Amino acid sequence: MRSLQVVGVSHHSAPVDVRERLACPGDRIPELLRAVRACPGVSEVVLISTCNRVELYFAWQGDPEGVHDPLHTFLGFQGVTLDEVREHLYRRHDEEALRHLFKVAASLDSLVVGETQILGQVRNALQLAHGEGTVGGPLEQAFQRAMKAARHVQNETAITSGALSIASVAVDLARKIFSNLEELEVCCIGAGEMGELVLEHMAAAGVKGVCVLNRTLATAERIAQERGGRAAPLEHLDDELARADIAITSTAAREPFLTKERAKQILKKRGNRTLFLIDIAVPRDVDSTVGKLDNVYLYNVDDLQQVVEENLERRQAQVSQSLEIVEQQLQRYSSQVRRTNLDPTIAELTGSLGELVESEFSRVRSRLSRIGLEGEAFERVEKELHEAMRHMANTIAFRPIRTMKDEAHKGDGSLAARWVRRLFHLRDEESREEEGWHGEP
Amino acid sequence: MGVVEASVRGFLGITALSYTLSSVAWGWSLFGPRGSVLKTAKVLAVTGLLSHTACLTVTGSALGRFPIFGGTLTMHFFVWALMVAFLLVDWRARLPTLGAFYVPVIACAAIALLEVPAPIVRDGAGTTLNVPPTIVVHVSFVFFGYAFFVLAFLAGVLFLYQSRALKNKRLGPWFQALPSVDDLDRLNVQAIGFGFPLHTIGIAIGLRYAVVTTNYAWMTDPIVLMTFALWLLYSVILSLRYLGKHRGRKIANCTVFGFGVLLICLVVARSQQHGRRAFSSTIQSVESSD
Repeated sequence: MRSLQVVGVSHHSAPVDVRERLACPGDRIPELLRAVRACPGVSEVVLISTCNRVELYFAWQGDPEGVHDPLHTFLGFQGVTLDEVREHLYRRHDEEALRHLFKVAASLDSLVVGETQILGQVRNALQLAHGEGTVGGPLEQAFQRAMKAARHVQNETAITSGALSIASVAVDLARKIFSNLEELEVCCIGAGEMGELVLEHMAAAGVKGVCVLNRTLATAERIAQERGGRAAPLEHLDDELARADIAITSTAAREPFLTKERAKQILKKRGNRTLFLIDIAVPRDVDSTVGKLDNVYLYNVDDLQQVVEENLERRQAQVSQSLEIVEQQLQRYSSQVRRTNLDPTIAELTGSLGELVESEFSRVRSRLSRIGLEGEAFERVEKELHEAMRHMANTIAFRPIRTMKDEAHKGDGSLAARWVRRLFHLRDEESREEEGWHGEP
Repeated sequence: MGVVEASVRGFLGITALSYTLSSVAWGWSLFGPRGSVLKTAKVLAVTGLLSHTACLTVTGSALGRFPIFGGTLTMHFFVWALMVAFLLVDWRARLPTLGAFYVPVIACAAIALLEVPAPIVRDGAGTTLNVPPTIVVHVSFVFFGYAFFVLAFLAGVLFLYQSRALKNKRLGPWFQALPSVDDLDRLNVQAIGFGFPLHTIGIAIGLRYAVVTTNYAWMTDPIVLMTFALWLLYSVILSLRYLGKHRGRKIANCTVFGFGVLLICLVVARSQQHGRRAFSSTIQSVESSD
C-alpha cells in the first residue's frame, strides 16, 4: 500500500551542525526532488528546508528501510551516511506524518511558537515541488489542507500576536503610542549593539527620520549612514530630543544623563508632544522618575523583556486551542481521505452487482418469452422485473457500503473494505492498480 | 393602533435591532478578525440611523412640527444626534475600535426608547405645538454639540486607560485592542473641534431669541448659566490644547470633567422642563390642554 511519510530533522531532534549538513540550498532542491521522485515506488515528494528543520515528505509504496528507501537517496544526495544522523532522524507514517505536517504549517512545532514565517516556507516548498512536477496528488492535497488549517489557527487564535524580541516589542509599543510611524523622528543616543538593533527595526518599520548621537562623531556618522539618517554630537542632545518622537538610549554612561528636571525642560521645548523613551543601557541612561512625566512613556530593557515574556506566555496559552483546531482539521481531512479510498471498492461492488443483475435478467427474459407472454403484457412484466432486480441489488449493496463508510468515519475502513472484497469475490487489493496514498496507517 | 403609531413602532423596532446587532459586530471586531465584520457593523449602524430618521420624519409630519419637543421625543432626537456624530467622527478618524464602546450605549438608549413617543400616542396626528423655529434650531445645534462632547468624553476615557496601561506596563488584551494614545488624543480634540462651534452657534441663537424676542430673564435661569459654564469649560480645553500646547492626560481629564458638567446640564434641563422658560411653558400648556 502507498503511504505518506516524512523523514527529517528539526531543532527538537538535532543540533545545528547536524541540521546544516542536511540542509539543502535552494538552487539544489529541484535536483534533489527529481532524484527522490525517481526512486522506485515514489509518486510525490516535497522538501521543507529551513534553518530549524529539514524534512522530506513523500508518497511511497515500498519496503521501509529497504534498499529503495528514498531516505538513502536523500542522504546520499547530501553526502551524509545514515549512521551519522540516525539518532537525530525522525520518521512518521500516514496519519502521524499528516499530523506532523499540520503542526509544522501551523507553527506549533516551531522554535518560536506562532511565528508566521513557516507558513510561507511550507507554501514555497510546495510551489517548488509543483514547479518540478514532483507533486500533484494526495501529498499536494495534504499540504493544501495543512496550510488551510494553519490559516484557521492564525485567524481563530491569538497565537501569532505579540512580538517576541526586545527590538520588535519596541516597534509594537511605538505603534500603540503614535498614530503613524511614517511621520516619526527617531533619535538614537549611543552606539550600543542593542540600541542599533532597535534602530534597525524602527527604520524597517518606516520611520521618517533617524538621528544618531554619539560621543565619537565618526561612529555616529557610520551608523547614521547605514540607516539613511544624520549624525550629531552628543552636545546637541537636548535639541535633538526636543525634535524626536522616539529616543533610544544605549550609552555607557555610569549615571542617568536624562534627569526629570532636564526632561521637563525638553518637554517644554517640544510643546508637550508625546515622547517614547527606550532605555536599553545598563546602567540606565534615563532616570526612572522621567517616566512619571505626562506624555512621556519610558521603557527600560527589563520592561521590554517583561513584555516579551508576557507575549510568550500569551502565545503558549493559545497552544492547546491551536492543537484542537489542527486536530479537528486533520480528522476532517483524514476522514475524507479514508472515504475517498473506499471509492474503488464501492464502485466495484455496485458494478459487480449490476453485472449480475443484467446477466440474470437476460436469462429470465428469455424464459419469459418462452411461456407465451407477448405485446404490452410482456413489456410490463419485463420492466417490473428489471426494476425489482435492480432494487434488490441496491439493497444488497447498501449495508456493506454503509458499514465501510461508518468504519472509515470511525478511523479505519480498510478492514471492512477487505471483508467486502472477500465476501463479494471482488478483485484483491494487490491486483488492483493503485492510484494514490491510502490514509490508513 | 393608527397607521402612524404602527409605522413609528416598526421603525423603532428596526432601529433598536440594527443598533443591537451593530454593537455585537463592533464587539466581535474588537478581538476577532476585522474586515467584513467591521463593514457589517457600519452597515447595521447606518441602517439603524436611517430607520431612526424615518421614525422621526413620520413623527414630525404627523405632529406637524420638528420632532424635538414633547415626552421622549427630546431623547429620541438626542440619540439620533449621537449616532450622526459618531458616524461623522468614525468616517473622519477611521478608528475601528471606537464603535465597540460607543454603539452599545446608543443601542441601550434605543432599546429604552422603544415605546412610541408620547405625543404620537396622546396627541395623534395633526396636533401642532407653538414652538418657535428659532428655538428648534437652537436646541438642535446645542444637542449636536453635546453629541460630539459625548464622543470626546469616550475618547478621553479610552486615552486615560491606554496611557495608564502604557505607564504601568500592563499591556493586556484591551490594550492590544484599543487604538494608540496619539489617535485617542487626536480624536478627543477633533470631537471637541466639531462640537464646540455647534454648541456656540446654538447658544448664540438661543441668546438672541431670549434677548430680542421675549422678556425672559435668562440671566437667572440655571440651565442658561450651566450651558455657559459648559461652553466656557470647552473653550478653556481648546485654548489649553492650541494656545497652551497641553495635550494627552490633562486634556483627557478636562474632557471627562466637561462630560460631568454636561450631565449636570441635562439634569438641570430636565428639572427645568416645567419651569419658567418661555418655549417650555408654551409646550407644557399645549400638551396639558390635550
